[in-house]
Amino acid sequence: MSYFESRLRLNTNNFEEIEQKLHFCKLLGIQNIIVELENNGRKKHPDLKRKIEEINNVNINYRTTINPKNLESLINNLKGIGHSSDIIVVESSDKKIQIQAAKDSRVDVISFSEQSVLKTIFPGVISLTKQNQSFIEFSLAPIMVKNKSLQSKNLRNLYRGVQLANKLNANYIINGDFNDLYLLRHPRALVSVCHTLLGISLQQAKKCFSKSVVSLLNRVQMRKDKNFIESGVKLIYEGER
Amino acid sequence: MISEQNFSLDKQKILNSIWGALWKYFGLKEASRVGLWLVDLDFLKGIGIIRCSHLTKEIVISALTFITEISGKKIILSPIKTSGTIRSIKNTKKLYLE
Repeated sequence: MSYFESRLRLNTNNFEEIEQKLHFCKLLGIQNIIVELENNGRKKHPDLKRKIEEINNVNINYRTTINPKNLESLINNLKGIGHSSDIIVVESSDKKIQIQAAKDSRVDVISFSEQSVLKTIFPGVISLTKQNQSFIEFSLAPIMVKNKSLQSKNLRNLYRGVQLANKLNANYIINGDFNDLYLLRHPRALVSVCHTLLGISLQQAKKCFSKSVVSLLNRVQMRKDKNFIESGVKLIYEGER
Repeated sequence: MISEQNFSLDKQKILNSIWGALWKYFGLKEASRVGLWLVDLDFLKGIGIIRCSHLTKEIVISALTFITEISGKKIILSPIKTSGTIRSIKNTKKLYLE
């Protein structure tokens, strides 16, 4: 089974750091990475993507995270993004934005990685993502901090969020989202952390790092396809009732 | 085992940090079930073998994941392979080093 690290932030202004991070991933045996290019990476894509793919033979996919301040900003950001080959992720602590993003078929993932955002998770947004076959995302980075009180607080919030998603049978993925090189871990190790500390079954934890991510990538592929018809939509030809 | 720089480590320091992580995150009850044993450790090649109860395998992997530094130096203890017997894991280690 191939596991995914579904959020690796790369600073586009520092190519040395990019090389170092990807080298580390290879050392750790991480085969599949979903990269998030920071600092207007979207504009520099073609050239930078080619350079990144030349570094090593790790399987790389890309994601774009939108952090809208209000609904208008979300709508503006989503314009023209429908046929993008990147995974489109929306991250906001505003419930209205979360609902709008969950309703929008162009959005693939609603992220609850940040602690301030994680606190705002509620059943409505989970239900909408299930309807739209999109995904919810959690991150393990907050529980790897040094400060013990912060760490236990973050673990408590994460446990609550993951258990809610699990109870409602949501489509969710989990990632490391580690910024520091020495905090990077192989997804299999993170599966163990999810199983032992977040109280989810081993099978479900493995699914969050592999099958669900594959489904997410398939969703992106289908979104790109102009001939793809969303579920629940029926084409009626001329003369047909 | 990936470390920040070449610094002197010994088996005892590594064992202490694993026990520390086990105690910190899982407590006395779970730590008592682990049966931890450092079978083999090659500092030069950065690879080793840890023996534990199969019932607590996930707990040990989690504890290794949470170790970020030893003696103030950054380190990653990343599991490569788990196996039911020491003999087969030694074979895996040989293949890995080749």
